[in-house]
Amino acid sequence: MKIKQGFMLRQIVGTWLVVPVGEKVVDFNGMFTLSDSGAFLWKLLEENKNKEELLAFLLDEYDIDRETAEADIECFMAQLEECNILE
Amino acid sequence: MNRSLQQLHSELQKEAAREGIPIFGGFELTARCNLSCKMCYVKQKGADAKPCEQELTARQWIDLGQAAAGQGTLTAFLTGGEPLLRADFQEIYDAFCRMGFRLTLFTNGTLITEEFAKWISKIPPSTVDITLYGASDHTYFNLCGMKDGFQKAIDGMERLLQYGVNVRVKTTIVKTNLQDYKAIKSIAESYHLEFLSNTLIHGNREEGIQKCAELRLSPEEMYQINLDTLDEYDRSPIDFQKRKDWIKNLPPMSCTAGRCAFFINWEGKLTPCPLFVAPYTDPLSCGFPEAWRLLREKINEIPAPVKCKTCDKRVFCPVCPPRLYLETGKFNETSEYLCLIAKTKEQTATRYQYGNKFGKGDHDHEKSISKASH
Repeated sequence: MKIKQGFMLRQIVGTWLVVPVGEKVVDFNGMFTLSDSGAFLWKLLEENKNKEELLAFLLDEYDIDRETAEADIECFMAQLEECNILE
Repeated sequence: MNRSLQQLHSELQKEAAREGIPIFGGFELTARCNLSCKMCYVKQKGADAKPCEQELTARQWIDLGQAAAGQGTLTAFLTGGEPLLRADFQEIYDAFCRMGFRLTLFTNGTLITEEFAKWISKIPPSTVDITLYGASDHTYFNLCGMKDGFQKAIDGMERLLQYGVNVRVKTTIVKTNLQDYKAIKSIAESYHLEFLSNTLIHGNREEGIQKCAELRLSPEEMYQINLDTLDEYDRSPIDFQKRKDWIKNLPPMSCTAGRCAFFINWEGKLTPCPLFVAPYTDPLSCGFPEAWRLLREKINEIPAPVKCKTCDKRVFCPVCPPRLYLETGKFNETSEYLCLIAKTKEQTATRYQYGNKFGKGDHDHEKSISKASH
């Protein structure tokens, strides 16, 4: 799974924002915020990492248990899919 | 992800102002225009539609845009003059729309062809703001010197809408087009478009108000034409009192200009907002980050208008340093016109609050419109 082309992750005054650019504004004229861990996962998805890899990186970066990390990833991916951001 | 865009912008703005991040930016791509509006704050003497050697190149604009994005600019607008007059506009726009900005394009709409509308609809800005200067070709001829300007602007707007581009309608009202105000507003409403009106002009930013003082509305006319110009918080007695208390301790530059907003004029000078000629810094020679840092220092040197500080009508007053400068030639000299606006706004707000309490506000307002229109 990968982030679709045309989204840019930006950090503005400490806030992580995803902004559509170029052609993407046609079907997504807005922007949304991400938490630090959301931005962390977003960057991994930009590199085309799969769920297992996301889990490994998340467990390595944050002090959380496996179950919580899996649930967080599922929740995050579901939100991205709902917004039609993944391909 | 559900926070409203407006709320998010507001939160980011507060934080950016506190940290001095240039989150809002305006890029004036040219001073040239195919209209000759008598009240224009940009237009230079002799600046017609022909290319001008002093203008920045497309490469320079793109570099400035990228540098601003690197410093945290999120919301940007491209303006002029008429930006579409630049032969290389598409090159500049194409780069800007990929920099991660929430981008707005300001235009008079008269140069929007079918081909242009189709092109921009594939890489659209968040919105295109089209300024309508009248509701007839007759008004356009009288105010802007173009006999078929109205029809061209409407055609341009319709082409954008046909291709699904977000459009807002703006207007600037002076005596010449006062009679068209309601019709312009109706046009926006008939297309279900957001409408923004401006009634406050201060003349060309190089010369100030002297040459077009007779053109602008009196404060009475301003508030007669529509309560649109009466801000929401002036309609609420509670908010109004809160704002009165808050405004007492504000510095001279109390808006976003130079704190988290900037403007780069057609000559490449970095200023706090479009109304300023100076102070400015030069991002082309020292780079955008340093120019922004220096500009933030310079705005602290702008002298405060002492009389305004203690004025009990300041809460109603549009006073700010560049406006005072354009009105009086000094940053800290009080302006009779602005004082009159404050006084009139106080009377209008008081009357509105009082009238509304007894259900008479709208009725009185309608009478005022009728009086202003005839």
